[in-house]
Amino acid sequence: MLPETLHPKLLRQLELLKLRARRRFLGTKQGGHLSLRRGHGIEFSDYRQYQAGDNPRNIDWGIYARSDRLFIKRYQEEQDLTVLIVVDSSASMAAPLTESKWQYARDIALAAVYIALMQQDSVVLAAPEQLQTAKVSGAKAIHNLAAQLLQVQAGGQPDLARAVQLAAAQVRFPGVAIVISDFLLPLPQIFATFNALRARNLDITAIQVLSQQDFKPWASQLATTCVDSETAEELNIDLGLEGQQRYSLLLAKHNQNLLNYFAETQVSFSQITTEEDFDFAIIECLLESGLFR
Amino acid sequence: MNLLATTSWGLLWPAGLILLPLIVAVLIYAYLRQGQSKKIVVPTLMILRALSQVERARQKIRLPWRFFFELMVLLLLLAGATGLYRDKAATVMAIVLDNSLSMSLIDTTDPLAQSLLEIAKRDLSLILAGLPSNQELEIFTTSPVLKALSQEALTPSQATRLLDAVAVIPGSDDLTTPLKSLASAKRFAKITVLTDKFVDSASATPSDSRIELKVIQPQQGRAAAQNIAINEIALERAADGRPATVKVWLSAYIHAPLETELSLAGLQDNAQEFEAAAKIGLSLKAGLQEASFAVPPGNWRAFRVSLAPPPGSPALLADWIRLDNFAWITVKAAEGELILVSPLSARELGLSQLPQFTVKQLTLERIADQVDNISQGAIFVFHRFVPDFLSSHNFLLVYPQNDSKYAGIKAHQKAGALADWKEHHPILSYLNLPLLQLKSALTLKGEAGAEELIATTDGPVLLAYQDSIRKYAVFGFELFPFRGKASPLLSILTLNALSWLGQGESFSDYQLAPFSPHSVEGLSQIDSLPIRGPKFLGKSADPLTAGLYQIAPAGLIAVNYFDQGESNVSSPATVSLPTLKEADFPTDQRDKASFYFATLATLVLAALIMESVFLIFVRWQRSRV
Repeated sequence: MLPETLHPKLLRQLELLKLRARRRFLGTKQGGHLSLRRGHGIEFSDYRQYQAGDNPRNIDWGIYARSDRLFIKRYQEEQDLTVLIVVDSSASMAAPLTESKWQYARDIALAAVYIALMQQDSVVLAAPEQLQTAKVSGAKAIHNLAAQLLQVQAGGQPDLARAVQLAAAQVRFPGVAIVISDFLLPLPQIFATFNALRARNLDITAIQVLSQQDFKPWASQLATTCVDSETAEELNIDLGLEGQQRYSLLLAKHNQNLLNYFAETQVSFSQITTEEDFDFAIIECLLESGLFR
Repeated sequence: MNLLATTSWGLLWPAGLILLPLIVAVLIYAYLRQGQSKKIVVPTLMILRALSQVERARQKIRLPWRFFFELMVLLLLLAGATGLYRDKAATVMAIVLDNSLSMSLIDTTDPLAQSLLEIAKRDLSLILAGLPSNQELEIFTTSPVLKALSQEALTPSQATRLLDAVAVIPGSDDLTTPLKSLASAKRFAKITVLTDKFVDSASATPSDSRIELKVIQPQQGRAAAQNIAINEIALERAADGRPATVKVWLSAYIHAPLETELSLAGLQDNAQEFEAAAKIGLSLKAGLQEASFAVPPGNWRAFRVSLAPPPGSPALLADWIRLDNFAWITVKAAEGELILVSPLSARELGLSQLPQFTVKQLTLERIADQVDNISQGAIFVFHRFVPDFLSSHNFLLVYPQNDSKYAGIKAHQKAGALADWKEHHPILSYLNLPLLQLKSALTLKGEAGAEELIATTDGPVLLAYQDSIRKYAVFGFELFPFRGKASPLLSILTLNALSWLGQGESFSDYQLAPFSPHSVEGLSQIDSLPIRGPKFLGKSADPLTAGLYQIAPAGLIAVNYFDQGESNVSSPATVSLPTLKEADFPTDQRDKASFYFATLATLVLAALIMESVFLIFVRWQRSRV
């Protein structure tokens, strides 16, 4: 059962999107993606010299007429893709309760799952320390995956890098990885997470989900006690205007560091905030990531 | 003399300052707690942690402006709670001008022929001229009661202008009591008294050093002073139809026998002027003397008796005080009936001195059986007796001893100060009762609807009630015996009460009659002791001169009583100077403390309102951002 945010109208819009790997991968089954294998696919790839035993049907007679030389047409074989979707289910995704980033992240993950399954790709869905599905395919699998994901409650302080590593191990063949998180983690942890995916030679996309409180944690109280959602550590802050500006700068700097890393490592990136309209934002976010078209 | 003002600040309850460190500590703690009171769960402290470290490195501990503002507000409250006051040293000079009858003495041997009062005013003008122009003064006259000439302090020039209005007013020749009142006021740095009285040699010492007595004496001295005076007048009616007689008692303080004339003038019923009725020659000797007139036929309303040496007579030089040469009396047929119910007789209670009433006395027993014979217009006078039955007659009840629904006794008060009185009631008209000291009174609770006319600090001691059936007045203090001018306050109270209880007849005068005080066991006296600005509420043009005045609408004749001793020019009254007594808690100081508390409380309230408005505005601005 899909959540209400993935209503039929949005699903029809999602069906129009295609998950597009930016690289060509080697799959085992015929699917919707271009494979490195040359074979009997639909799309012409290139020529090679005729060798004894080749199917004469593939001889390009036009080239022979022009060059008196025999060449065989090569076609690209369409292969299936494995899509690894990791949703950060740590406690920070559940704070604040009024602006649940977790719901947004979960729904984005389900949208990506839906698109992948509809185009006959395989999907591995993971929420660190709470969910690790096997590779599934087929459109009907969406309901099962949605049911499992809906049972996940954001909380705790899971090791994202470790969880990603374990999930990536399920992906036997190179594919696409989508990591959905707020990425409000120390950069080394983020790097470790994505390095584990890069080691698998996956086409990686990062989707950052942020809430209004991430930008202004002090709300209406300048003098307040902030409690870390994951560690329960308390910190008294008393921010004046200068402090608020400095916080905004530091957050922007953190995000900029992320972007720099993603640019260096060819990780696609898009950002969504919980105050945006979900129906509109999810399409924009998926398109912006470059993974969908 | 220049009395320079000095100011010192003080706290009535300095022990309250111990709260100061507590207040500061609590306020600091509150502000420290303010940040801790709100907890917000945030996704991560990662960035905030870095931020706060930098902020801590940059900033010292900083208290917001609100802290200092609220600290100021709390300090203001503390100052008010500890009784901040400014004690201004006494700088006001009090001048007491004795304007009693004895000050009207004119030394006939003095070519200037100025009265002692005029001499006193002349001397006072010289004193005022020598004072700094900014010296604050309060001028008082003493007769008939202590009275200030103005509500506020005066400058010397202002005071000089007011002196012309001061005149001799016959009254109780008591200077001791007014001085005692003034001495209790801390605001006076000096009290100068101009009087003809000497200090009583028996005065307690040390006396209040602020008081300076200037004794005004005739040029020739007291020994040369002479005076003739009318002390009393009475109208005696003969029971056998013979003409009434006007009896006059005279006193002469003279060195040698004196030939004088005693004149009788009468006021006919419809006339406006007195007309001469009779005259007798008198040969006065030093001491007391009697004379009498047969009342001539006529429809007389009042008589005036005047004593004077014949015109041009050298005896004029022997009369140094003229105001006491006159007396008035009204003539009126008895028109009211008083029904006395008392263990004492009418004579003992002085009711026989009220000629306009016939007094009938009932026995204490079986009153109900006797009521049928009493006319409806009669007024019952219950004295020290409350019957178990009341008719529909109006009644006056004095000094009740038993519980009744009309006057239940609440408590017996040994002594108490007047707390409140209802000036508007006819029984209290023409009286000013501030600080009435009751030596003995019973606090009362009256019938529902009874109006509380005089109350002590414990409760009402005079009630009045009126409905469609009857009127009654209940006195919780002894009203009798009726003494006439010897006890003016009581007398007017009695006359007012009887007038109000009467059947609408305009009650007129009473008789200036001799009365020997009859000592009745248990009867107590009432002293009136006003301090400031009492007004003698007569509406006559000159109500303070001895005589009879018809005052509308109550119809009461206001009479002035002067002390017989004032006519005794050879032996003037003395004055006892008060001793200086430090009050434990001076009224002025307490008033100033109250003043500052009110001011501080107002400032605190204004500050809190301003802060609230400012905070609302700031929050509104933030919500917009």
